[in-house]
Amino acid sequence: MSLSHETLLELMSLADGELEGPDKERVERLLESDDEARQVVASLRGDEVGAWLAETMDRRAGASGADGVADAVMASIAGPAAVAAGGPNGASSAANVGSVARGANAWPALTVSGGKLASLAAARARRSPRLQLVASAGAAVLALAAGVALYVRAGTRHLDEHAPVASVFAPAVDVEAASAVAQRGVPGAGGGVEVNEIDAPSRGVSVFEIPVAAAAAVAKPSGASSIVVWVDDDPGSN
Amino acid sequence: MTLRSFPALAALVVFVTFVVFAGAGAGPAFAAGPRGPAIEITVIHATQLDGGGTIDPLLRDLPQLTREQPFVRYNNYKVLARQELPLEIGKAAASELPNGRALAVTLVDEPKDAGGPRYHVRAEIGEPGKRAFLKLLEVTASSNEPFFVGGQSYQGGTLFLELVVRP
Repeated sequence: MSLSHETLLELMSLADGELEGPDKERVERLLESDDEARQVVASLRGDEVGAWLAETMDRRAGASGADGVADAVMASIAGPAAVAAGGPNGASSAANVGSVARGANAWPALTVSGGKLASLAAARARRSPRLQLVASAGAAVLALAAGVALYVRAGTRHLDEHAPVASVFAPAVDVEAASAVAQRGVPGAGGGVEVNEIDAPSRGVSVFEIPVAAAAAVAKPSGASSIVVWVDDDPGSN
Repeated sequence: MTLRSFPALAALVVFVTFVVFAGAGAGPAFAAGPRGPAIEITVIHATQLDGGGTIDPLLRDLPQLTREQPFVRYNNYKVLARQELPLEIGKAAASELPNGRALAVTLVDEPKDAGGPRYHVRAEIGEPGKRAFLKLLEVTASSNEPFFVGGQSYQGGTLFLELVVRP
């Protein structure tokens, strides 16, 4: 093919009837002088393609009711009574336009579907309840799950709260601190209370330890020891 | 169901959520006080009564300890106060004592978690303008393991402070 890309585009435009004025005249002169150009235009205007294309487009336009949209809208504005506004293809009908709903205070938006006019608000009203129901159910399930989780955790903490405060008993070990500053470590098996440092200047300090062995004799879950730090108070204080 | 019913449904969801959370909140989850580790302080007044003493029902486990030193010195125990304060690293949780002194408890560092959290806490008892009763006491304890500080004279008896770290 010897025709340039630009020339082909111009030929296609001519075949579609889109060219006017000097461009159209120029392309028509080309057709008179160029056989190849004539063949291209002829093929584009051929019966097979042209007829099919024209028929298809006409059918779609008619089915869409596009020709009757403006009339339907105007009829709706004019009053609640539907007015038929058939287009060239007769796609719109009085029954179709009659499906337009009118709100209490405002005209609803219109939608064209399958040649029928319908209210957008009505369409939304039909769809939204399902969506709302699903969203609401999801939120409720999440809320319940969170509540259950909190309650379970609360129950666990509740058990901890009622752990024995000090259920160990044993002969206490009296550790008299000769100095006001005493440092000692009393690690207990399985935990227990460990004294790291005591500082009570100019006061007598005693540490009473409840041994682990004795603690095991009582039903304390942790089996840990405990301590009492005794600090001598000032004479006459309170 | 229409658009008009959506606000009602939304309100129902909010209500259910509130009821569920409030129900859980009214239970033990929040009854323990602040979130995170806390120090529970119980102020116990111990006295020696000739006619025989009693032990405050709040001190459920104390009877076993009253046979040991230094508890054996007294036969009457009464809880004067009990409170739970949040423990934060380096931040003192202060509590005023009945004798005018103040107890401050501080979480020294991050709890060690070898076989369960162990809390390193520091306690101080002092009174403004006077010599500190207890300048420093540092202990390491697991949660729910009580330790006691005794010796403060108060109304013919003594004060025992029971300190327990709550997780």
